[in-house]
Amino acid sequence: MDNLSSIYDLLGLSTKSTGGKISKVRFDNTKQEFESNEVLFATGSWDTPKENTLLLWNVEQVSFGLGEQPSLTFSVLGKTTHEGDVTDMRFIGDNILLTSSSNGSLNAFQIINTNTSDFMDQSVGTSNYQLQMIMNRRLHSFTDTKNASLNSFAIKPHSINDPLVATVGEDGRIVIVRIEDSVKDHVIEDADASSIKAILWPRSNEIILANGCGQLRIFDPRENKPTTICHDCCYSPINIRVPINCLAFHPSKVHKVASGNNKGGVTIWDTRKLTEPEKHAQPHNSRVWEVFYHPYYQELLFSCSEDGTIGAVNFADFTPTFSTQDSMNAVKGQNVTIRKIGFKSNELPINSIDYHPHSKLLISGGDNENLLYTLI
Amino acid sequence: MSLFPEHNSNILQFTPFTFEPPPVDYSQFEGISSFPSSTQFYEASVITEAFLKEDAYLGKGKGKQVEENDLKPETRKQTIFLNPLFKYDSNFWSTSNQSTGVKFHPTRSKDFACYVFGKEPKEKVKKESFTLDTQIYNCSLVHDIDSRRVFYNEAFSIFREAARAPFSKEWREKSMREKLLCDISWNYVNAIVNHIKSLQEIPIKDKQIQNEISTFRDMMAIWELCRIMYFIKSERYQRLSTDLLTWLNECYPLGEEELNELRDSPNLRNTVTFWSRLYKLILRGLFPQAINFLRSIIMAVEITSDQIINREIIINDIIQSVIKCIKSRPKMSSYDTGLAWRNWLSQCSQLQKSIILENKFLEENFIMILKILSGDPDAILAKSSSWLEGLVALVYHKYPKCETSDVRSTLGPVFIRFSVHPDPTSQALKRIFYQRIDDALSYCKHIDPWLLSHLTDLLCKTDLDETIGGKSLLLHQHREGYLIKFAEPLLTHSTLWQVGFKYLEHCEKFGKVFMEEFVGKIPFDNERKFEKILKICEDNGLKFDEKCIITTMGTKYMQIKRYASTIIYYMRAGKDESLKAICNIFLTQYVESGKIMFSEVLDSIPVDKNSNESVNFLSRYRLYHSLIQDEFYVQAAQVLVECLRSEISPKEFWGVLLFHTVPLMKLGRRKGIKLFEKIHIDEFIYYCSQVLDKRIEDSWLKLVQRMKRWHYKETGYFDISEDLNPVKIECERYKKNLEKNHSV
Repeated sequence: MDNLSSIYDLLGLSTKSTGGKISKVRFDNTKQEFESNEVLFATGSWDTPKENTLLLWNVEQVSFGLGEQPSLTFSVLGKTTHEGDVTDMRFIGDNILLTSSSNGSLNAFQIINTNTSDFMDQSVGTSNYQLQMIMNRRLHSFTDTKNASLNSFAIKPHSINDPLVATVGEDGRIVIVRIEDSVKDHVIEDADASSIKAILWPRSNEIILANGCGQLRIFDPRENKPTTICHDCCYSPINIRVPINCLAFHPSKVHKVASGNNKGGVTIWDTRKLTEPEKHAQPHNSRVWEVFYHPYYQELLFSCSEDGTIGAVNFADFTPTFSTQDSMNAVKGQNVTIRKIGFKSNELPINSIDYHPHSKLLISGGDNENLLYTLI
Repeated sequence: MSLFPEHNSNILQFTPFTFEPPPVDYSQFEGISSFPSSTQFYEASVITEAFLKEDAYLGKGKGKQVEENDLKPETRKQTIFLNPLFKYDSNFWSTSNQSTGVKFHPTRSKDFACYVFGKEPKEKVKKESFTLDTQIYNCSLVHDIDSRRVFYNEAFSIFREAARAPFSKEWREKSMREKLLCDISWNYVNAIVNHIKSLQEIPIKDKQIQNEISTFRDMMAIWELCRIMYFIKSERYQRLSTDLLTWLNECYPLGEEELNELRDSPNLRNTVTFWSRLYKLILRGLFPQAINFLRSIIMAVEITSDQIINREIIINDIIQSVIKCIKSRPKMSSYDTGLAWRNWLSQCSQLQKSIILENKFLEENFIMILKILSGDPDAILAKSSSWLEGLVALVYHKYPKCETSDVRSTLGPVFIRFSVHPDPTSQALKRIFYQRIDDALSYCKHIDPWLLSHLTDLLCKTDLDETIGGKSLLLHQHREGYLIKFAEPLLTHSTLWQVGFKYLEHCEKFGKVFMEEFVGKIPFDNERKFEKILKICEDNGLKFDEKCIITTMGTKYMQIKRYASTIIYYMRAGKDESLKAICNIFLTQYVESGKIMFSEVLDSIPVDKNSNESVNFLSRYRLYHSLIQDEFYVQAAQVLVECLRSEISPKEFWGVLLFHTVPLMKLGRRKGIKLFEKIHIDEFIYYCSQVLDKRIEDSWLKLVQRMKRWHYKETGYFDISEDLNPVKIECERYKKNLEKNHSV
């Protein structure tokens, strides 16, 4: 329990109290204002019955000169309650924040800059923004009375003006909806017999799912059956049936996808050749909750985990090392450089991470109710 | 075995509690005096044994006064607030009979729900009738955890830091260890201060918040005093007196009331309050403020022969001399303080002797100030307003170079003059000065479980055993019990349950027992929370609970017929029998409809050789059907033989597998393909006899009846019969065919 691993390289992640366990953090990457030092992001909470919250934050960077770390000032701009745990979140155009909930609903919040004191929220300080719910649709359920958690959603590429959203949940369905309409465009009832954990929509005709049985499934959204099913049995035989919790795009190669599993492993897949995973590493010893590629250093994969750390895996020097033994250590790529980032003595899970390339700011949130951040 | 060993277990301490009173005149109540704002408790419902744990005692009775308590020095009245606040409505409640019912929480011994019931007003109803308030009030004997969430998270991070400290390199060296402990202690104090600040920022402070602020101030006072007395040792050089002074001024600052009075005073010199305030400033070592005070009574005068004016000049000179004396007081941090201190004391003494004034009031006050400065115990204690002020002033002015172990000897005169209030904080502070840390902690028990557990934990990491008492301190035995007591309410808290379990990881003896008791009780309604609960089980080797929780998840999916998820979870839990049952459900579905309904389910479940045999069987059986569909008959025949030989499916289903052999044997004969060996045919005949065994007759007959609904000639199959004759006949023919081909 108390072993201090040599790879445990603690970086100074500072903390801000958020008043709830954070399940999602997301930067607003819809605006490209390079001259502005202000960056917007949102956090969503979980496991706070009846009072889960969405917070809209602003982080301002003040630079003191070359070689000096800029000073960061965080402030809460707006706050609203969220029904159910926040399971996924994304900013889309027109100041809209899309969220999904553990009660099976997809929500859209309009961010309104009020600039008046009417909407001041005393509990969070100065607030010039209001988060107004403009859509709340229950899309996933097991029965009429039993909700299924909406675990993840993806937006069809190039559909930002009239976003087409595909949602997945514990009920194993894919529901494709338009934000503007109240009608469901398409429902794939039996996309998976188990629960679906994550979804990506890299191309118009390709939806990738990850399920609770460790499989990746590729769908053509017009079809009801998957075109490809694969699972990780190559790099680690013990990974068979280990749930895949999250997926991420490669910043430039549309056929490359990263996934994080329940045993702390991260895997790179080539969707053109899914018979076996391309690369694999073991940055964590427990469930990986989110992964993302560094937008510029494209062999660098970040992950956050239940073990309370953030892992940075450099796959640049990856050489596969196969093993016949069913051992976790024997199957990972030995040449992969793994760097761990943590916060003080935090052991509580980190549930979500996001990166803002312009400000070089990495933010994360977890079950210690703190917003953690660092400049990378 | 008791988790909380007591010095004297015969003394059952009593924590009386009351409810926030509604605005009713209770004096008119018959037989019930001053409900609910008294130290009496009225039991109206269930009192659980769980409640009667350590520090509370309730008797039994029905709506009557059941127990009166003698206020012992250790007893503290605790007001329990109904949540939401009870609003008395005279139109609804009778003023003459009203009571409160209590139900205790099934798992949280210190939480309970209340409801108010009583008679309706006579004016409202003709007949006497009882009514029940629809509102259920949540109450807790422990503090409101929700309002402390941020504090608890911050404190947990420091707790972990403290737990890791003994594994660090610095720990090996004594001085570095002390520094580490001081830093950790300082971090705890910072967390307390931050929480006090956040509470003070709340615009409307109700009684609850004010109580919370007061509790945290008490906690800060105790923690800081422990830091000064126990954590800083070798690093300090004659700093104790100044540290204590800083502690007193920070934790028990001077009030502002006297200042308001002085602002309106026309003649400060002759105002008693002015001198009283000045004494306190001197006693507390607040010299800059004291100098300002003294300067404020200097009167501007011109040098003349006027006697009155000359008197003023003399007073001004004395004031200047006193100010000079205060300014020249040696700082206790310098190394040559011994000599400097003696010189300064003689200056003080000379000045004291030289003060002779006509105004005896002023003379006495100046002399008293100088006496305090020179450490006169009588003067110090006479002018101190509390024992703490007196003690710290005595240490600062009389024994500025004393060490922690010397403080005890200064306490005698202080307690002759002052009595210590029986509240737990004062008692704890007194015992910290006496270096009776075990006793001090037993008083902290009545202040807050957080303080008790965390302070004990940190004190256990010091070498107190060596420095005080010279014997093994009880706190080492108590540490785990205190931690568990603190963590227990967190385990059932909707948000902080993970932190609660993390604390239990540091309780080597009993932590696991408590984990086992609580981990299965955490509610979960989605897979993410479920995985987080499982992680706790995995980290702490709670194999049985892990299996139970996974089985619960599997069963949840089973109830809504999500079989893929059910199979996955049952496989994780190793529930072979349940998997067999699911397998049978699928096979029954096939028998009923002739369709493989579980194909999609199996698509979602990657199967390998180590998978459960029932799931493996299903997977192979589905493979057989796929091969038949794709016309891979040779492979299909092999898989079918495998399925039969495995003997995993229920015996009656062997008959179905045998029926599957018939078209393959026919095909083999017709096309001359060797799909089965002779040994296989012998096996088929053996399996036929097994299926026709009398012991499974009923289930076999039922299966055939159901299968006959779709398995007949008109639907493209052959007619089946209960006696398996088609199989037997075909076996004979195939055998003959094999023999014929063999002889050829």
